[in-house]
Amino acid sequence: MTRWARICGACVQGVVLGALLFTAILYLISMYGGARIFRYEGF
Amino acid sequence: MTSDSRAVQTCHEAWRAFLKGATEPSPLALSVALATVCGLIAVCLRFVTPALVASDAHRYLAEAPNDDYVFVTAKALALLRDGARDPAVFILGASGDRESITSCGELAELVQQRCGVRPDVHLLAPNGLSVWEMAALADALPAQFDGIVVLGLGVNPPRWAGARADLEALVASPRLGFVSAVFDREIERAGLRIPWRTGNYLLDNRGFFHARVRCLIKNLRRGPVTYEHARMLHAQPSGPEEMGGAAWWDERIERARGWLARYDELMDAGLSVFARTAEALKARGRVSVVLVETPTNPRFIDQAWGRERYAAHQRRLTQFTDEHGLHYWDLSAASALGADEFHDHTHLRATEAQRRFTKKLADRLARLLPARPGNGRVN
Repeated sequence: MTRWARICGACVQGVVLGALLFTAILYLISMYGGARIFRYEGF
Repeated sequence: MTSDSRAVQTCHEAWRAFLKGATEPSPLALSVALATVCGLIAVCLRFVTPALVASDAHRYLAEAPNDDYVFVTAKALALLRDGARDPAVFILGASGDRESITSCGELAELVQQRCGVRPDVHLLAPNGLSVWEMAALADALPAQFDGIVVLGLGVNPPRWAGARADLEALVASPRLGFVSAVFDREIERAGLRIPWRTGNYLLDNRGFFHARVRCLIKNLRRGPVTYEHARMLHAQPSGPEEMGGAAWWDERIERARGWLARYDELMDAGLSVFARTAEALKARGRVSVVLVETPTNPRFIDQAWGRERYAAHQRRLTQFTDEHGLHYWDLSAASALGADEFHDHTHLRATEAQRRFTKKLADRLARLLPARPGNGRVN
């Protein structure tokens, strides 16, 4: 039983870390990815 | 040891093993983390679709109530999905066109009063729409429809399609959230490289979404943004550098004169895009295409264009539209728009002026609506 509990714990850790990593990737992309909402009024 | 105490001990050991598994690094945790990231990316690729953006969810992508391109994208995608009720009137233009119309509902009502038919009016007029984006928006209209497409010419027609750098900027930072074969062909014609297309909506529009991740994160906390239609009414420049202020005005006149110096070359490039757009639209059904001059401050015409040059421009547009079976309307003079009714060179700030322009547009639409090709009357 302890083996499965440990596997379960590792899976929970993985999901939480994965979600945080995904959010961090999105955040970094938005901050430093170089994309911008293009504004040009002169057309 | 009783069976109860054994069970408690087993639970305790299991909990400690769970905590150990959840807190200590392990190859399994790392694999699950990577799989979760990949899974979330796959979910985005699968579920971020035109249908999602056409739904109310698009409001989470907008930066502010005046972030036109998100709202216009959603509207265009909804039209592409649902079509429009015939007869339809689509008005494609820039902010000057948007600010000159009171509302789609009022325009439809005015047309109905004049000709007895109530059209389904759609206004797609984001700030500073370029001629290439207008072609892309026209391409996103329903595949088959019956009605009129009004294309706003913009306040600086010579600017149209004149600068390859402008198109390069739009390719690098797309403002519309959909790809269009027409837009891609314009990119190709300009000698630029078409961005990598995959067939996946999110990947193909990565530039659009990429720029809006920050807005999405902010709006998930604050709530979705609500669109604001007319925003120049009663506006006054707060300083000389502000839009419509004295310094801004001088700079704008100077810039317009620079474009006018290249009038012939730039007009040829721009009109060729309009011609292709109009041809594609007319192939979609009983469709009339109108090029309408965006309301222009008479002071701007005097100072930037000069009356003679503007009259020559009107003649050129008349000739072009005659050659291509289109219509050309310049309603500013007929609507008696005075210089003091403009916020700047093109945006109306007087409600009364807006109403006059909308009525004049309704007059013309009501005359043209029953006279489209296929109705047995003169076009």
